Amino acid sequence: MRPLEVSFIVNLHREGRLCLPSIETALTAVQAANQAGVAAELVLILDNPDSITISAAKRFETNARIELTNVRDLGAARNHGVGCALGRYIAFLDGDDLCCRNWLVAAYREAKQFSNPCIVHPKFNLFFGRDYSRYFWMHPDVRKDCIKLSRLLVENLWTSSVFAEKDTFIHFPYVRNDLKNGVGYEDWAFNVETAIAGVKHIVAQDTILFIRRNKESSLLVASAAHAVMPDFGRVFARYPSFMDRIDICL
Amino acid sequence: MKRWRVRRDQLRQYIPYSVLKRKLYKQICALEETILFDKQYYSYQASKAGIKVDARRAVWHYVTLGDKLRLKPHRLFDTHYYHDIYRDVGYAGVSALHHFIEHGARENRNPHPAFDSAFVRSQTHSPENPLISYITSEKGTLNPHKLFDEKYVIGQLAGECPDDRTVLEAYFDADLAVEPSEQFNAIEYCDRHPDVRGSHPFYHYVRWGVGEGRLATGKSLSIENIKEEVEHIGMLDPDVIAPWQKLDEIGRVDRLKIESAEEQMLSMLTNSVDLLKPTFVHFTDAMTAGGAEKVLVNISNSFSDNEGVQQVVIIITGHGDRTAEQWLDGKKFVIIDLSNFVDLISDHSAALVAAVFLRMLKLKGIFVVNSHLGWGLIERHGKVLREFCNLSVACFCYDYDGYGRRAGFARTHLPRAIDFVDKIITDNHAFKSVLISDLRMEDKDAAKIVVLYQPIDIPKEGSETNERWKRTPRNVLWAGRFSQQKRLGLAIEIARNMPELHFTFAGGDESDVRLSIDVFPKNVTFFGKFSGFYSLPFESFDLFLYTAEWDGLPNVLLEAAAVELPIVAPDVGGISELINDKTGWLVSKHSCVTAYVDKIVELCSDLQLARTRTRTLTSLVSARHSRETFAAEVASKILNGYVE
Repeated sequence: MRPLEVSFIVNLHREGRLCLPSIETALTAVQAANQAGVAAELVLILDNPDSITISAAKRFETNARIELTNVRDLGAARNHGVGCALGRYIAFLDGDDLCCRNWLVAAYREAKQFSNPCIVHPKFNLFFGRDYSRYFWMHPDVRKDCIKLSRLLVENLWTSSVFAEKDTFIHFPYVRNDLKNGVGYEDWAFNVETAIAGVKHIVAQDTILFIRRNKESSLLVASAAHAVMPDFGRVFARYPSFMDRIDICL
Repeated sequence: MKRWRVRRDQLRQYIPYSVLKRKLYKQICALEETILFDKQYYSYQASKAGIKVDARRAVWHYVTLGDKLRLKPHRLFDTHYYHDIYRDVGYAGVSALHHFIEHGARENRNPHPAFDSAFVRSQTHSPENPLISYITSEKGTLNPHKLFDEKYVIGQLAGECPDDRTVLEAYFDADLAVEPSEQFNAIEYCDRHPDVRGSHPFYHYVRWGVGEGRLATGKSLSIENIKEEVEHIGMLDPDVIAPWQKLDEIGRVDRLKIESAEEQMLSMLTNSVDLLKPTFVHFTDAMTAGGAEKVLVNISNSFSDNEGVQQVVIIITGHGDRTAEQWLDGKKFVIIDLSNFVDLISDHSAALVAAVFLRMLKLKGIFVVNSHLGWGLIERHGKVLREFCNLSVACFCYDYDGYGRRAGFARTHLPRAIDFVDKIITDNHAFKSVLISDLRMEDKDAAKIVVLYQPIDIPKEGSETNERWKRTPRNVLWAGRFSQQKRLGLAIEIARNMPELHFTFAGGDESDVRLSIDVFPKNVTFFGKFSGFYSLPFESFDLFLYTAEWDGLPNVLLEAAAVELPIVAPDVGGISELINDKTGWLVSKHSCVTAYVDKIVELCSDLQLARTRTRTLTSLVSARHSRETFAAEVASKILNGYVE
């Protein structure tokens, strides 16, 4: 039996029927990876889900591993997923977003080709939603773009659907969102911390993720309502010397 | 004066044209010698337009006729564009190329839509004509336009770029598949905008497309390779792509191509301070010489004097002069002016950037005095920041708008920030009572209010101040901002009713009085602006008149008291904590002109009483408002627990 290379984790909460196409696209990406010779598994992490989401996830139980948890936080749920993952690499997808078919294969190849520790992002995102003004959002790539810490500290340049070695997620676990106390944006803090630590953020060509907007239960909407700021506390504590050099390209 | 001469051999070429004017000579001489006039290209271009021009007479033809026909003297000089963009050239009566050589290049005017003179000059750092710099430079060393990457183009031309042409010229001759940079694809542009056919797509975009807001994308933003995937996913979820929506019309965002004012603001903040020093950060919208700024400076100076404090950062978040900076005393201050950024950045973003910056510091405390950004910061991120530092705000009194409604940060922001602040600093007890009542404060919130009587420097008693009590009172001083709050109109009416006295108004002149007063009373003089109360000739005055409609405990009263001026003032805000029947003449809050007149008459009629009350007042001020008392209060009530 081939060793498992990629665990594709879909984080589910209370997406309801919206998660069905998301899981379908994730499953298609896993199947495409397996066909391309990259052994992959699909893991559905359900964090404090409602019954509709559970029943939606159960439709895929023959093709996916379903893990239930009650951490009630996206960052903690991702960390839980890392603990459950069997693959050498891990990719994350939020439960109401969608991915392209070649995402895992392209990201895997990009990561394998790159000699340094890296985090692979899709080249494009399409922000979409009903009655939403759609737009393509291009991810930067540190191999050709000059990305300064000064920019990364004021703007999250990469979305949360990432692909990286499992060790990376173990070294840099996601911080817990604490919206009521004004801190959150676990993916932003993850991006900043890994970038400072020297993990290269690169993109896989010809890949796209589809990010849903205008959703009622969105963490982003809740974060805005609570005037949340990114939790960089751990970053600043671990890398104090970097704060004097925020104008240098990462 | 330099005389323009045409060489004989040049003149001979134009012998058939016998009447030559000096203006033409001058142009012809300049153009004959410049490499920006390509005679072969000009003749070729003219012949394509059906005009036969001998290359030897090309300059003459251009100057006399070709410029009007908008013929190009060089492939990279677009006569039509130059005249169209710079309309003043036509009125100057010279050809476009001559104008460019003589004036335009120096003024960074563009000879061609695809040639950005300023951009080229930013690369050459040379006063030389940027177009000549570009033409004579080694290929691949200068980019003529932000969207034209020479090395990128050379890589695609692969030997199709002969020595006698620039890369930009070669690009316009090349196949449309050649991209000027990763940001522009000519074929995509043509497909997206079919109406541009007939002109070069890149030329069209830089000439008109940019201004028309047309979408242009290049290799870096090309979605060609993902279109199929978008359509596929669109089948799975109806929200992904709407029916009838063209993929090419969906906007594309490359964040790094957009300058970030937030990034610049964070860089400015972090580069200005020592991140490793324990730091107090003070926010203010202005550093003008006003009362609130005086409080800010008093507290900042007191912080700076404290041995436990290493760095005090004052962040200015609004516009205005910075005269109050001169009051700062110490070497621990870092002053950062963010006024230009707050205009560019939304309130929420500015607050977030400030919060991130503050988390980078070894932050001990934040103090906000009338700063929109500072209050917004506490309101939005106070819950996080209070975990790491002391949060203090200053409130002295309400302001009032034109409708008589309460305004000011104490009214609009404090109710939303009160849960997060540790200290609410005010300069009078009266406002403390108002806040407790208005905000329905419980004891724990009321305990946050700290009344800090502001310090005042007492000048040494001079002989002239003693003279005041030997003369008949005659000169009245009024000093302050000429604003609605200070009720200058009321003071002028008081003057009108007391012709036996002379009133001097300091703080502005007649033109600053925005009142419908046609004729000022004869007993009124305007002193103009003043830099500080002690710069006024206060020895010449016999009493101080104050007429504000609302206030805290105004600094100007403390200063008047310090120089032993008898004071007549209204019973508003915290003034009664200073002026009462033992220290001066207090006029009830809603009194009219007559009440003020009566009090002034009372004061003038009994000099002994006036002297007694004023001495009492000065004693009160020197005891309660001394720097030592203030420093001790700041140390015990604000800094305690936050400095070692």
